[in-house]
Amino acid sequence: MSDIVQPAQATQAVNEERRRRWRQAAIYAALALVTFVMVFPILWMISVSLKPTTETFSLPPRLLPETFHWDGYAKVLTDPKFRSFLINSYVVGLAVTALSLVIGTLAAFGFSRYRFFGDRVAKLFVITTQMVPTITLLIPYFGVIVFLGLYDTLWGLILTYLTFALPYSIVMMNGYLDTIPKDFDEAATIDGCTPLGVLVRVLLPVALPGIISTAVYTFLLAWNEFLFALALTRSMDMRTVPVGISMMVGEFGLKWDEMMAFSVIGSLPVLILFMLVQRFVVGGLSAGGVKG
Amino acid sequence: MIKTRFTALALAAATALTPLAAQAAEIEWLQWFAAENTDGFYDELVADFEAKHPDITVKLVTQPFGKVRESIVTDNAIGVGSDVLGLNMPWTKEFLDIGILEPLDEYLARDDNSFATSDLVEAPLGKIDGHTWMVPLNAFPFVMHVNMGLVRQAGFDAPPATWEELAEQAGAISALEDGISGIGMPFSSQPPSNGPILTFLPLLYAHGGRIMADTTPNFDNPEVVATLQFLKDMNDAGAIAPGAASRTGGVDLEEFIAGRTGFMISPGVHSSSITSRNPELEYTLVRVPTNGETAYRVHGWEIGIAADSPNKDAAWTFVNYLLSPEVNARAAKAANALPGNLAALDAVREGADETLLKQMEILSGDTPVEEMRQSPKAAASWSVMTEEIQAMLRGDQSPEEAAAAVQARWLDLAG
Repeated sequence: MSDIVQPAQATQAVNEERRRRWRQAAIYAALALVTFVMVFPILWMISVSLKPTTETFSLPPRLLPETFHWDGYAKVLTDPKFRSFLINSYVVGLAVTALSLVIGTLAAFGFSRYRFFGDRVAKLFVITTQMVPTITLLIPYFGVIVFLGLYDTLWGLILTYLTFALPYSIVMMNGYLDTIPKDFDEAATIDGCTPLGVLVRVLLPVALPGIISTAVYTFLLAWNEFLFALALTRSMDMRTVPVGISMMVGEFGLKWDEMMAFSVIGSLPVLILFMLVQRFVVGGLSAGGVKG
Repeated sequence: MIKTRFTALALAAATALTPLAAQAAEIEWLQWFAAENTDGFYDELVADFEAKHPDITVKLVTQPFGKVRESIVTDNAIGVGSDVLGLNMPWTKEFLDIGILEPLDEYLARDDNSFATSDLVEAPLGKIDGHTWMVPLNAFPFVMHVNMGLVRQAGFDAPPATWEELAEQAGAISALEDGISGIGMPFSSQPPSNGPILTFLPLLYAHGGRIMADTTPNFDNPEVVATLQFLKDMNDAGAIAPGAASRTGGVDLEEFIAGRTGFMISPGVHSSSITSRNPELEYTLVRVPTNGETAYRVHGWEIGIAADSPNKDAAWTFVNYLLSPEVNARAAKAANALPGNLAALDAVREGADETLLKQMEILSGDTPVEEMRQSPKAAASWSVMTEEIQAMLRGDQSPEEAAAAVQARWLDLAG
């Protein structure tokens, strides 16, 4: 009897293994396709940055340039205007990240660890601010920034982006802090920690993935934002990278190689940052998402 | 002792300089010109002006062309508008409705101007609501760029001069091989491309037609219908590059530079991009093919003064400086354009490249036309024109129906 069953089981196992491999192959093929779709624009951007304009529009299109043409990079790297765009983007991005982390974490700590009158309404308000399309806020923000005397300053951009980034920071950090048992706080309090000590010494080290994912999101938001950067600044020395790129779209043509070279240079910090911390970002996002 | 004397001297100097500093007027010049391949030229121009007028400082505010119109409107609404404005003629009526522009008649009538108003390119000066609102810095006449290599391959010796020849040659070039087209027609509705004003209007003007009767829409007239019919016939014959409805002016230029289009109608300023980026191209430029008429569409970089500027006199001093023949010639050369002040033509001619000289020769006796400046809500108007011409090229309507539809929608827009 067992002699008869064994070959049948073996065949079933082989079939199962074959199906599993097909499933895996299909998943890999789908992933490869999605990766290609996501990566191709970046490859094309790098390719165009290294081609003379006549080659950019050659048919059939070629990913690899016939000859590598570095003029776009030379122009962008030697022009002080472009260096100023990069420095401004770094200043704004880092300032918004730092401020939104500090303020967002403190607010999230309050929401996560204390119950107070109106806390639910306040939390709901923070979430609903995320639902307003930012374009509708352009004119009111413009007026407020002019009124505050911050028009055409980096502080104006920092303040504006902070208002976009803070709700997300609060929601993310609140979700992450909620995953940390309150026993930690109680133990630290018994050992003599103040509430701020509990946050800084006990909770933040545990919440590091949440902090990193929030920081990356905030930095990306400030680094990539275009509309408000264009509207709230007017001097060339206050412009950021996205506005600098848009300045290359002229009335009578595009400087493709320079535009793509600057886009590559402008994307590098973000790409490198994301590659370095992607492990934390994914962890932080999922933790906040489950417990939020 | 020495320190005390030095401090006293410094204080005295500061006190003496204070009244001067207090009198200095700061004006802002919002424009897109400095972003258009004129590296550093406008910074030098401003420095030169400030050296000659120590009582005025100029802040150069540069925006990408596609955002200037919105910026002018938004800045005005918030009260942070610039004093001197770079303008595009089609924006005129819209800006007048909002009250952005200052009438320039009184300034133009001054005796101490550095130019004669009669020397300025006429098109931007035409009165609307009884006033002149802008003056021309540069002029970019529309011409037809020609790939002579493709023309010869198709069996012709000379570029087309009439519509009939254009249709014949464009059809023959399209038949040469796959991927080669007779003529590009950028009818994309994506700004700042503005489709029909780049190609349809120059052909219409060369045919003697107009789209406005003073400030009233006049699109459903026989000349307009004939021009639309001409486009439709060329499209049906396969003479127009495929994908016209999504083709932008930028793509049209790139396709021409790459040598895949026989003809391109666009401002003459493109000649410098074409010759510098593809020196191998067998290239020339000619007048837009006509049916006997010699009018051409002119585009330009115009300048106006903001109605709410607190420094209108200083602003006019700067505009006056820009229009002086010597400065205007420099500005025209920097942009590879014709000067707004025609008294600067001789200075521009000196050392000008062959393509610029050819533009001067072609256009010397022709009439410049720009009608969109009279159109209420010009941006919406050219979107309407684009949509209806796209529908006609798709075969959804006849030229007569397209003309009637544009006219009806324009009248609605005009309210």
